[in-house]
Amino acid sequence: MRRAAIPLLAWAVLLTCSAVGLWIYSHSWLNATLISAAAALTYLIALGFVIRHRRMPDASEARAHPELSVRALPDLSFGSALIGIAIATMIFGAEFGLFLVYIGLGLLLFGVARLIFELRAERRALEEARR
Amino acid sequence: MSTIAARRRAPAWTSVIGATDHKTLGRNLLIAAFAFFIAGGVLALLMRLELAAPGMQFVSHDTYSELFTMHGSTMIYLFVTPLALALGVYLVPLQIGAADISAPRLANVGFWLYITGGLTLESGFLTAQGPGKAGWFATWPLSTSGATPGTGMNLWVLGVIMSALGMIAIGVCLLGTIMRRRAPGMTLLRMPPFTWTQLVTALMVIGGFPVLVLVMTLLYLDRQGVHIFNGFEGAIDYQNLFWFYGHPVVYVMFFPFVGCALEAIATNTGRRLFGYRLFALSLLLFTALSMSVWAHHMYTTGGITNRYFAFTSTALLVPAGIEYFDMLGTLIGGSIIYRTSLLFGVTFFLQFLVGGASGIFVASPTLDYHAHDGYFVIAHFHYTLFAGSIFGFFAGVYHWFPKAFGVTLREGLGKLHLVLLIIGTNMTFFPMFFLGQEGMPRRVATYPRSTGWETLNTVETVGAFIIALAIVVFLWNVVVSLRSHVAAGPDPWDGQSLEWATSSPPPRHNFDVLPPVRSYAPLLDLKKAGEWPRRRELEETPA
Repeated sequence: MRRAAIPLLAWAVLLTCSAVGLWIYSHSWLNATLISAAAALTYLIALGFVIRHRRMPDASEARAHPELSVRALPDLSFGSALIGIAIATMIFGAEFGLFLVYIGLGLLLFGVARLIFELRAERRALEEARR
Repeated sequence: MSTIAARRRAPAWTSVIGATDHKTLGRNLLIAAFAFFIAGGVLALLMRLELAAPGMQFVSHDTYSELFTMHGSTMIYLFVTPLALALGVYLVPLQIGAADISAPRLANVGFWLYITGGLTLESGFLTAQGPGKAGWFATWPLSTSGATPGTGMNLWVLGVIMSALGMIAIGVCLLGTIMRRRAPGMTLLRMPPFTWTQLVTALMVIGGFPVLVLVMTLLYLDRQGVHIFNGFEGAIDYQNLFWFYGHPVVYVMFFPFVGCALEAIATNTGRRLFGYRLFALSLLLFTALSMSVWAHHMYTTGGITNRYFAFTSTALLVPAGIEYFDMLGTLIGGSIIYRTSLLFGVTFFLQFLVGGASGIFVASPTLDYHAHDGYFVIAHFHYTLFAGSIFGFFAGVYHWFPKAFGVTLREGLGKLHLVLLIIGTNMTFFPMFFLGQEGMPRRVATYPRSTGWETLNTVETVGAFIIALAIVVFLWNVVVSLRSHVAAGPDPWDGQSLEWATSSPPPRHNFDVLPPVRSYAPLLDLKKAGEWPRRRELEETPA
């Protein structure tokens, strides 16, 4: 699956070509910097996929490792919804006052705690399947 | 009794709040985006009513500024972009044989940021000084606190930040899904065309949207008195930063619908997509070029290198041409079935052609000096953004509706919907080319009677209401089709990709059995080899 990073690298190379063009022809440093940053970001993402490559197990591997066929992901995740609303509340606080930022922080804490519970339950389910 | 059987079923509303299933998430996003589309559409109708005749009819100049700002913002930030990603959230895991989307919780965070962002943006209507009124790109210095004071404009900026963060989160999930969750045998060059379009869309979201978050944060700080942008250079810097997001987003709102149209065309011709590998390559080239053309929105500023951006903008013709040849090559020699989805798909390419061809004019700095900030540009971008998204979207809707809801949409109503939409679109947007040529500027609530623009403006207003009628027909079609309860079956169109290998709607885990993947049309391979039943065989099989 490392080859999956090829289109990302190809895209990054194309962006680099464009960046080189801008460094040569443009008199605005911001123009060239923007596209160079996009190219650099794409190289980084491609590198990430190369380093942490993983693929889906095929049928034979799934038989050897029954935990791979277990769906431990819960259908509902209130923690994630709470985190989304918390971030929005904090951003809203920029306009309407610091109290909203504090409320958002509180919600964020609740959301993260709930998410930790969910992730622990998920891990327990996988461990049970392994046993 | 097992523990699972004894567990109480969660109420339906909880799936709106905390869904981790990509299908529920995708559906929630689609419904929310469509609701925003109706809101944005109502604003457009109000604008068209005002412009139907010279003089001020219904609204003040100030209210008109709010209307066009909120119409553009709603359509771009809250409708088309989320819609494009919503289709990916629903369909990509199904097309690549995955059980889930990557990081579904992050996708849910993204959904909530988008919803709250949308509500924040629209909540400006509740403030004393009204919502944002500096245009959908909040041109600096028009968007300074001096020029557009008030909480509404601040809420507009914050809403854009939130919804952009939401889109980035969803884009990251889509990229992760495509890179790491493909079924065994599903190499990159075996991914269906629609998934390819989602891959490049995710890349552009990740590459371009952070800059939107950055520029909006800087604008917010600027409005709070921290002087970020100053003088001429500040205005140029703002535009550079904004359009670095603002042009790629045009393609975010286009590529997924190219995928929808091509899938509908390939399925309804019974042929593989013509020139698949070249299509994938052209998408990458298209994407890279689309990230390199942003400053063609700034030709008239004198602050950029026009020649370079004219070159990259014109070069877009090459990958676009390849996609048109792919479409034509697929149609030629195919056994075409004139279903609504195919007709929408072909119309999508034809209508976008008008936008693309007029794009050649505005890609040229010399011609752009004449067309800039006039109705010619409005016509051009409505053919690319409205026709270049909505026709492809409806091709996808008529194609995949049975997969998502288990029933097919009615063909008769679908064709009526298509005809009305074609008439409405062309009546509304084509006269704008003539108005632009004659010098009608954008963002004006009125025009002198002596200009003779009234007839064309009245035609446009009638056209806008025909578009609204087409949308009503579509919604009616959805209602009657859902109430008919006639099961569509797993594969009503003789589909080519993996999503047609599972039930309609798919189960929570998507697939009970995955067929082998040998090409980008795995089901077509199996059907040709006689290893998978065709639609007719499925219909003849006793229940």
